[in-house]
Amino acid sequence: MSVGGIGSLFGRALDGLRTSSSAMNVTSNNIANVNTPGYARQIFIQGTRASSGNGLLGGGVVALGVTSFIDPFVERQLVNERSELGTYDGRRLIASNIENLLYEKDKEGVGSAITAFFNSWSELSQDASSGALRSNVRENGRLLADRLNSTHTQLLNMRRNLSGSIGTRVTTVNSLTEQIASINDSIRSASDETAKLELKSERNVVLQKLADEVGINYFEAADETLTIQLVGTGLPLVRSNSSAVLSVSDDLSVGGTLTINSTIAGGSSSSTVDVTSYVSSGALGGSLHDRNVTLNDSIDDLNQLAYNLVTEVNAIHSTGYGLDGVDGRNFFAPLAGSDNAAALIAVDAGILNDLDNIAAAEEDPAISGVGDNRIAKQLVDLSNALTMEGGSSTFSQYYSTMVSDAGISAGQINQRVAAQEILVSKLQQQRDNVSGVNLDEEAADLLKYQRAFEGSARVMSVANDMLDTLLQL
Amino acid sequence: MTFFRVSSNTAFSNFRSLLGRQNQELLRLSEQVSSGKRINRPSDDPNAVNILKGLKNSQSKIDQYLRNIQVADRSWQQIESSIRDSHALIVRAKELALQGNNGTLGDPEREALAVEVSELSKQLLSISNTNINGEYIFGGFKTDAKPVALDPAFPNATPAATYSGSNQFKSLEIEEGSQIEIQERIDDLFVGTGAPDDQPLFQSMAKLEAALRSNNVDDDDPNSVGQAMEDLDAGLRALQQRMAEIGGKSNRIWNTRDRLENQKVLNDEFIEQLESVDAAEAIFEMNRAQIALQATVSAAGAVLNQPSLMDFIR
Repeated sequence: MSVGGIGSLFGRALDGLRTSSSAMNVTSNNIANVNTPGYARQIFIQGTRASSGNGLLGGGVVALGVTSFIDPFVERQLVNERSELGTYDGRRLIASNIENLLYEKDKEGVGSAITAFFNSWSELSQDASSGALRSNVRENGRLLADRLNSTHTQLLNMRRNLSGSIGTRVTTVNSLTEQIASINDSIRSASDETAKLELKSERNVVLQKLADEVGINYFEAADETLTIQLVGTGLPLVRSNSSAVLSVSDDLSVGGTLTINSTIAGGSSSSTVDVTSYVSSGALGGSLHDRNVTLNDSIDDLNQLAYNLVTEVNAIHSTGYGLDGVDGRNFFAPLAGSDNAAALIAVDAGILNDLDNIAAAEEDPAISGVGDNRIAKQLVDLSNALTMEGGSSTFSQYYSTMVSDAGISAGQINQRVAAQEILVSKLQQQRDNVSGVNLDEEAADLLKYQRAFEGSARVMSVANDMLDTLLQL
Repeated sequence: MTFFRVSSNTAFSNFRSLLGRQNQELLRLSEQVSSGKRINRPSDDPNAVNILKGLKNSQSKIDQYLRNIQVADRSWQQIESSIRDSHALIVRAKELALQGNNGTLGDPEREALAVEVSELSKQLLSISNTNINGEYIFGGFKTDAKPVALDPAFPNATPAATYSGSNQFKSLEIEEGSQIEIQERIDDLFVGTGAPDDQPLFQSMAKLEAALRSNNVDDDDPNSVGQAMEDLDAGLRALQQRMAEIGGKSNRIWNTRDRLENQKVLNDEFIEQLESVDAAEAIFEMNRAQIALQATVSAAGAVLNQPSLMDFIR
């Protein structure tokens, strides 16, 4: 009975050596990637080589391949929840910027300027002809206008900076989708399973990064390429080996919004589509919401406040008379509408030129007397009048509500971030429990394959001794 | 036996996020301790921020009301002292009338009395035209011109004096929705409004001076010293009544001031409660957070430095 000669002993030993060192390569790769985010640990699979003869003995060992541990369900959840976290994490900065801008720790903001302005009219009612008190009214009017102007400017700056950062994020998204498209291409042409596995692992890392930026759907096609769409739509970001190019166009006008367009080459449709309303989550979705809704709303609110201040103050002031006996003057320069009102509000040139033009009197003071303070008192009463939101709040209350609304929204976002961080870290843990590398396990494997290698080497040396013995005959 | 597989990084990332959260909490608490404020941004307590804004706004308004009250109080003190001076002056005029009404008095003596009465009328005029800080306080809205002038033919003229001031008077808001005048009309008492039973002070003084000069001590004559004395009596009663009214106004001002000052103190306390942090509690919380952080750090040290199988591969 022939079971193979000494020569086959060498062959099996060589198989063993090769297989053990391949396995150690896989193990060492796992160890090397212990800190690589998104890396899925790989397992070396080996099997018995079928015997070439008809004997009972096996033909040695053979490497069957490498596989990786991935739980697709957890992976998918992680992608979704990371997008959600990205949304609120992105919005946190703007929310805290707005609340810090509107909130006045001391007495330097819009709210206290409104009160000071109306107080200055009350002060003027003590002595309507006093130059000093008239000057006080004018300065407080200018201060109020300045505060509104600068708050408006800062909100606009925030909006502009945010548009810039959206541009950067869009560039990031473009580069990530391009990477995935190019990995798709490599996977399609790769023949080696191990190479495919490496490419998929790399693709998964990019996918997670993409999910931070924007909410996505994804599925693997039959040729193992990954198709990625904007979440909740069929609009593709990656299709086979081509990726969409997103571009930004920013409308800087009052209430203007930022638009994101998508162009994808290849396939049946190669046109440019407006995808703004579909970019709903991820840091990009969050920033887009802040740019187009949150900031525009805050700017609108401030404009409405400025516009109503101008029109209501003027409506009373223009019925009054200056010290020179002339009526019909505006206190603030009149505005055509609420657009940009907070930027345009200014004390009227007539008032700036001559303090006598401030109207404190209800009749010509030459007739009623220079002590006529009735218009000044009407203006004081205006501070208690329900002049905002169709007669439901005063100027001061309206501004307070703006501040507390900003606080509520910032608080909610902070809470969402905290809750979402915990959810993502739990999912990450679940994923790592399946796919993550455990160094102790790898060390055990390393020892295991090292011993196997040593064993095969020993077989080789024994076979060599046997051959020696034969040759010395 | 089944067990949960744990990846090497899980422990690291767990400790990292735990340390992050604990550091954030410690930062928040130390901000409270160092600023002494519970609310450092609206999101710390949006509801309280809304209330705080309202309270601070009303504090600022109360400050303005208190400044207005100060002005009103000063005005009424000036008015009261002017009316009191007028009263004393009329009392003196009545004494002179009493002396002059004595039938045994000779012409030169009456002439001397008439000269003193004439001086008193001039003093009354200067009270009517009191000017404080450039404002004629008895002219209503017309604070820039002398409101009262004597007729050139004084004392032989009717009416004896004219009022050129305004019939509208300044008032100030001293509380939300509550106004108080800061001027008093005197034209009705001093100059007369032309009503039939009018006995204005200047007219009575003119009558007295003229009667003394003309030695008219016939009590039945409506232009006698005795009649003038009765007119002055009526004037004195009117002045007393006016002083009582002024006292009422001052009382109202002081009441309002006390109430606003109380309100201000209450608001301050409320603001303090809403805004400030209980120092003892905040420091206690901060220490607790610090201890928790230290515990996490030492736990992390123990767990993460645990020997690995790697250590035994030689």
